[in-house]
Amino acid sequence: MTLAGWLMLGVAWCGILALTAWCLARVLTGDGLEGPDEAAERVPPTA
Amino acid sequence: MSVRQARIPAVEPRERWGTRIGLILAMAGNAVGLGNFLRFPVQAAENGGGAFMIPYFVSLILLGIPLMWVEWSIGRYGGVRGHGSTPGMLDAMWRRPIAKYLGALGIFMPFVVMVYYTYVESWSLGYAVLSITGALSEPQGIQEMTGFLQGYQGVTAGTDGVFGNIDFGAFVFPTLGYGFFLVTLAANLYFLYRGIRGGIEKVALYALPALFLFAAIIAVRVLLLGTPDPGQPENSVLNGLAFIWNPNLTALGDPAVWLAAAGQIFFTLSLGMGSIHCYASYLREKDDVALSGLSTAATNETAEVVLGGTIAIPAAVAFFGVAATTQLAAGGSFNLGFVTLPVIFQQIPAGSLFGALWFFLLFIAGITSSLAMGQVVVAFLEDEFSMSRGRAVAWLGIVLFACTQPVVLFVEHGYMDELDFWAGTFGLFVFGAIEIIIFSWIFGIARGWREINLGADIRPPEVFRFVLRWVTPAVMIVIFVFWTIQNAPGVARMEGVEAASRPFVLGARLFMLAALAALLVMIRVAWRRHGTREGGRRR
Repeated sequence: MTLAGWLMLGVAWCGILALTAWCLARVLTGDGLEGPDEAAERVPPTA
Repeated sequence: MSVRQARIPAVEPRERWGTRIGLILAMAGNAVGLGNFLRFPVQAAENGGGAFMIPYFVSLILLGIPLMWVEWSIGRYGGVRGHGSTPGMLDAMWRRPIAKYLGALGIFMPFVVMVYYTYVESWSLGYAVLSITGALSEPQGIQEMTGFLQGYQGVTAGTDGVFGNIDFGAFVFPTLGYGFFLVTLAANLYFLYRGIRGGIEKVALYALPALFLFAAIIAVRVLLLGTPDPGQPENSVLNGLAFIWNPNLTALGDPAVWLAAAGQIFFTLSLGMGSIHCYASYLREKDDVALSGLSTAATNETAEVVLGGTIAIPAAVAFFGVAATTQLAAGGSFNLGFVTLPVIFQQIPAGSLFGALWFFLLFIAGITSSLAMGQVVVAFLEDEFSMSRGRAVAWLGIVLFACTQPVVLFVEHGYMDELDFWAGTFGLFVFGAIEIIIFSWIFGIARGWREINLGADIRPPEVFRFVLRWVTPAVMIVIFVFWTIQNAPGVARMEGVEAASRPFVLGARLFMLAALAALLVMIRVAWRRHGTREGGRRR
C-alpha cells in the first residue's frame, strides 16, 4: 500500500470515528427522550 | 389551518420513541444494510480507490447530511400533524392536491423494496444456519458455491437433497429457502406488531450493537489473514486494502466517479425512501433532529467505511488476488457476499463460526432495514385509515406474502432485479429530487431552516442554509438526470434480458404500476374521508 493510500485510509477512518464518537457522546450525555409522554399535551386538531 | 372536511373524531396520541439512543440506533439500522458491507467496497475499488473517498466525502457533506436533516425535519413536521407517511407530510407542507400524490412514492418504494428485500434477507438467515450445520462447508471452490446458491434460490433443482427443492417444470420450488423466508417474514411482522417502542426500538437496541460487534470481530480476523499463501506474496490483506485505498487521482476528472460516489452516499443513507420520514414522525415537536440526523449518518459511515471496507474485498484479494477479485466483484455484490466469502471462510480455522457471524450480521443489517420499510406501510394504514396496529400489520403481511411469491419463484428471470431497478434505485432519485425541491423552494428555506434548528442540540453551520437552497437541489437534479440517461434507457428496453425472461420482467413492471395505482386510489379515498388535518390520528 502506498503512503497516499495509508493517508487516505487514516484520514477517512479517523475522521469518521471521531465524528461518530463526538455525536454519540453528545447524544448519550444530552437530554434523552425518556420521561413522561408529552404527546397528550399537544393540541388536538381543530375541526 | 383550514380543514376541508369537518368529520374528524377525537384523536389519540401517536406512539413515541422511548429513548434517544434507541431512535438513533433504529435510524442507523434503517440505513445500515447489505450495501454497506458489499456495495461500498466494490464501488470504491472500481472508482479510483482512495481517490473515490474525495467525491464520497464531498457528497456526504453536500448531499447526504443536508438531505438527512431535511428528511428528519419533514418526518417530525408531518408526525406532529398526525402523519407517519409522506403523502400526509407533503400535503401538510404544500397545500396543493398534487402534494399528497407525490408523497405516494414514499410508500410505494419501501413497499416494493420490502417485497424482494425480505426474501434476500432470508437468504442471510438461511446461510447463517447452514454455516452452523456445516452444509456450507461442502461445496468446494467458486463454481460449486455458485451452484449451491442457485440450488438454495431454486434457480436449479439442486441434486444433493440439502434444499428439498421440488421441480414443477415451469419453476423450482425452493423448499428450504421458502422456510427461511416464512421465518423472516414472520419475524418482521411480529416486531412491527410490537410497535415502535416495544418492537423496532427494542430490536435496534440489541441488534445494532451485535451487528457492530460481529463486524468488528470479522474485520479483525480478516486483517490477521496476512498472506494466506506464502507462495503467492502478492495475494495479501495489505494489497486488498491497497486495492480499495491507493488513490488514483486521475479518476477525479471522470464525472462517472463523482456520480458513483453521490449515488453510493444516497443509497447508503437510505435517502429518498420514505422510511427516515416515518421514523422521525414519532418525535415530538421540539425534539432535536440536527444532532440525531448527523449521528445517524456518522454511525452508518462507521459501518460502511471502517468495517465494510475491511471485510469483503481485502479478504477476497488475500485469497484470490486482485485480478480475480476484480472479476468476482464485477459479478455483483451478492456473489461477493454469498459465494466468494463462504469459500474464504472454508479456508480459515473456525471458518463455520465466522461464516455464521458474517451471515447473521447481514441478516441483522437486513431486518433492521426491512422493519423501517414495513413501518411506513403500517403507519400509513394506522394514520390515514384509522386502523389498529394489529390490523395494519395483518394487511401488510397478507399483501406482502402474496406479492413476494413471484420474487421467490422467478428469481432467475430477473423479476427481482426489475423491482430493484425501478423502485430500489430510480424511484429513490425521483423522490429525493421531489422532496428537496418541496422543502427548500415550496415550503421555503426560511421555514425549512427553522424546522431543522427547532429544538436542535447542535447549530448546523449557516452555510448549510445556502447548500440546502442551491447546492443540494442542483446536485440532486444533476445526479438524477445523468443517472437516468446512463442507466434507464437500456433497462427500459430490456437490453440483455433473454427472450424467455421478458414476460417476467414485464410482469414486474405491471405489478409496480398496479401497486402505485392502488396507492394513489387509497390516498384519494383517505383524503376524501378525513380531508387535510393536523394533530394526530383518529381513534
